[in-house]
Amino acid sequence: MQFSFHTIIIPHYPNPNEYLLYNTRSQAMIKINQELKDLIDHFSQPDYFHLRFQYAQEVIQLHKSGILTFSDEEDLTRLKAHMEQIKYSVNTKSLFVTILTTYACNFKCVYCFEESSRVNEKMTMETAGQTMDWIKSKIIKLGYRSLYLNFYGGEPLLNKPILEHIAASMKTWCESRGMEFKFMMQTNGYLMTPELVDRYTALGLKQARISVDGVGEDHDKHRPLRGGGSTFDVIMKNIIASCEKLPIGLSVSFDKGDMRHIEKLFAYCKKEGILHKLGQFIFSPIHATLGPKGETAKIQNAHCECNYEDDSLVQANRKIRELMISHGLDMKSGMSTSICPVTRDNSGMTVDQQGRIFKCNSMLGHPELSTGHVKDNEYNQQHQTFVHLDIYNQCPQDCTYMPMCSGGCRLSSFLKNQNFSTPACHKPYLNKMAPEIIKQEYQDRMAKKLSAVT
Amino acid sequence: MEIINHGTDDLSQMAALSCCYPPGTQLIEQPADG
Repeated sequence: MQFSFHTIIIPHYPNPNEYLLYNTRSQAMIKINQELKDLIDHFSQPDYFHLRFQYAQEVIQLHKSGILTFSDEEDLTRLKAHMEQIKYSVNTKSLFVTILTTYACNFKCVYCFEESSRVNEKMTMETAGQTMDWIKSKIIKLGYRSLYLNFYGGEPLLNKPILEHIAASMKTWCESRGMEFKFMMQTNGYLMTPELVDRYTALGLKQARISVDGVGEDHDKHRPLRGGGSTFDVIMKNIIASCEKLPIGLSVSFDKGDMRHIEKLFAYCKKEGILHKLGQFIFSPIHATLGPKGETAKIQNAHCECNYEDDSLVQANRKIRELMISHGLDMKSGMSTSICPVTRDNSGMTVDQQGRIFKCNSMLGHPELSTGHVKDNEYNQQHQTFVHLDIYNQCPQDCTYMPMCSGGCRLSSFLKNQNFSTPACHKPYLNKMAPEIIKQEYQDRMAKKLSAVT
Repeated sequence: MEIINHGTDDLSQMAALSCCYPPGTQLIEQPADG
């Protein structure tokens, strides 16, 4: 018996002579004492045989949870099964589809990955009908039990008739089959009035995500109106008036580790009395983008990729964590398993305004990266190419992080190497951050356990 | 020994799935669909 390649050991935590163990494949988290740790480290040595009997049940449990393994071969067999699940499994609990009602936008954000391929083009009723037929056929074929749509753009509210038509039609269809229907919007917030929120809530709207990049000028210099003009005041008026009606998540970008605009935004939200009424905050480093249409490999704003260097990510993560805690905000803590939609067979369904299907929103505006069209029954060859990239075969099989990484983000690979087939490794970042993230998750779980008891 | 999370072999049962990698970053605003 031995520790799995994929078990992270945090020594002397939470107390001296205690070990917190985390497995990156199964997400198991278990705390053991010094004696049990010594037994595992010397399992085949006769001096420790007496402890095998004493800790028999514990060893069985640690093996079952993936923390321990009989052999390297067993560990790799478990890893292979996990990778196959990531590639092929379908969670029939819910079908999630992103729909672009339009590629037009009333904003001209400085870092927008769509801007170099921007066209003023809206989804038609015909394409909306084909999109709904495609969604229905997916639900019938694979047996999904609920539908969750994400309206996206461009700015989705620039084509309200299509959004409302799709939401109302799919709500009726789903409910006639006893299925749950809900939708969210990723909007710039400029047109999201409280009256519209009331109307859309009745259609199944459950949450909105809005990008806010600071207060006043900080925001406006990143996210001006197309043609010029500030947007902050209108957006915040809408958010303040709607945040008790609907969970609104704020997406905040940052660059070169500068977080001053985030501090100001927190202070503003606190002053307005909405800081703790909002949904989740999502922080994203500004990144490079694919080139213009037809010149995908001509990467734009390549200098922004410094935000994704391991040391920058570590510093940014720590700063954000500190800021969130100091403002009493919950941060989504813990490790997570990356399920890059690009390399999954039944995942990543974004339908653009023309009905083309993309596996990642970052590829929008690049038809050669489309994996099919809603009017066709089958995906195209590009879909097969993406699904069979199997990037993890290029990584060391004993890498601790392989089960949660699978070779990393495909967009990240393209931005760095101009191809989708190179691993995007962040092992140095994870070596530094994993213990901190695991400890935070442990503390959060303990706090929840305590509050459930009291 | 204290079990904080049993873990699972079944991806559909895992609570923490994300299209963001590495954890704590987000390249593109695309919610994970599990």
